Amino acid sequence: MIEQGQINKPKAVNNHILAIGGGKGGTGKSLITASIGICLAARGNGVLLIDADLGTANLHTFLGLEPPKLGLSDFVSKKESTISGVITKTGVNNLKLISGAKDMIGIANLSYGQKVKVLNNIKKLKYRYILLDLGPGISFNILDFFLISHCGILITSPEPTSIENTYRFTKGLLFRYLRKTISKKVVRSIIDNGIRQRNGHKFESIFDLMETIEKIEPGLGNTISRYLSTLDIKLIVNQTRTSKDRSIGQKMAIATKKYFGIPIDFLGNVSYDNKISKGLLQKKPLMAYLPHSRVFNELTEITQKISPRYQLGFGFSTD
Amino acid sequence: MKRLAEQDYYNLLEISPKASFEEVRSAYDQAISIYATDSIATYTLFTQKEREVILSRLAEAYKTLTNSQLRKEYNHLLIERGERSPQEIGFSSLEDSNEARGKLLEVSVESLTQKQQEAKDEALPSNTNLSLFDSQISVTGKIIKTIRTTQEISLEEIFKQTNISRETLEDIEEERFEKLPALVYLRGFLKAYANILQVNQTEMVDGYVKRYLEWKNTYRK
Repeated sequence: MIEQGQINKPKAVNNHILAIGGGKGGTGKSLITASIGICLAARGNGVLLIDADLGTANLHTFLGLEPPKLGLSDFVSKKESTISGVITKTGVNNLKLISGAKDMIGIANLSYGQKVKVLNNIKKLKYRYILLDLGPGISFNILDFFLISHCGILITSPEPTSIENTYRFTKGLLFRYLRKTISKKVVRSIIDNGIRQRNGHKFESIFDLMETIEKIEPGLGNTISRYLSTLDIKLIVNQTRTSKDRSIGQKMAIATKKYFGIPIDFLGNVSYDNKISKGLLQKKPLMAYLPHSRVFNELTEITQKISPRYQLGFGFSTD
Repeated sequence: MKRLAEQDYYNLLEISPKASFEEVRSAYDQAISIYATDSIATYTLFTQKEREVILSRLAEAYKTLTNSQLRKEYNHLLIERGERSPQEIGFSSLEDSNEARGKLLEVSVESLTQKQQEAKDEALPSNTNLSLFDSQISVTGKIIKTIRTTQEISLEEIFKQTNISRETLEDIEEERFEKLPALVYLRGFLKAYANILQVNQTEMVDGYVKRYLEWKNTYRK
């Protein structure tokens, strides 16, 4: 629940919510979300995928499904009264979907009230894992969904533009968090100025900002640092081709930790595979056409890192 | 959380204060590849000015930590400032460290021939850590193994850093002399091994080779 001046992380009682985001479109968020979802489900976990990429929803395609009849927009617009009412099957055991496919004009911009309603309802759902595909961009809604989840996964590709957007996303998260938790007007205006970069008050680095805040409100800097170190953010680099590409993720994790004080867990690389775009044409899930591929192995390893407690094939989730 | 440019050299390079010169080197290479101007991994993360500050600080760090005198002075500075404790750096006290170093030098000089002295003078700057060997006894494989296991270093890690096969490392530790390679290679391996264990190279090499040669003379006449 995002209350004014406070962001409370939900306790992992009913479920474990993973948000998948990253500034740029086309980096592979939906494909990876669908694939990780399938892997987790195959390990016996109850998994719900939610396509929160309203307006440009693709998750159903990566699962090999036709656009479902009901989607998240129906719940938001109150056509469907409960969120459970818009959950659909995927044809994969243990895996369910709330699609974003039923696009409604204007649905891409959720109001504050609508956003809160969606979040509150998601938190009550009983699945071991809930994966939120947030789509591209750094709008406030996306950042808020990311901050409110138990764990956020950033997807980037090895291109400079994608990396730039990943850092923008991280900065956006930081500013969004600061903006929401700090009530002191003076500090807020500093942050706003930092974001908008006017009044000649451009912060060259996060440290400049933190130092300024610390001067005005001593102790606040520490509180912020402590919160930042509790964030659970992970990084996947998708579409890697060369060994140079594959070295980027670890470096980004180190630099982000050193620069922002935000610990980023590098989960791994997913290789580029030209069979994927062909497979998409057939609208099949990745596992169906690349079962023994390098990509499949990489995704399996990544999934293992996300859910280390569950052994392949062992038992079913108990909630 | 300190500004990048204000973190101490060890934090900056993400290494332990007890890191060997080789570890410093590879940490430095890694850091350069992250923060260099053309590094894609940190594209847009830093302004050019910030980058220059970071890179010059990294260069300072590398220069200081790979020079035993400068490093010693830097360590003392950190301890004086209260930023690091003597335990972290590996000395139980400043006096002990100087004493140990002094002993090391005395002992090493005594047990060497002229030729070895020259070689050792070259080797000295690369390893200034405490001597764990009693100068007069020969160094057994068991001692080497104990030093290794006490530091919780696996053979796998030694292999990764030195490329010496695990079999050879085990042969050294188990003193399977008949399986060991020619002396010239053995010395090289022992030297690299000693470096990882952060013990005096010359002492370990000479001490072990002494045993090896004793065996060789006895059994392979």
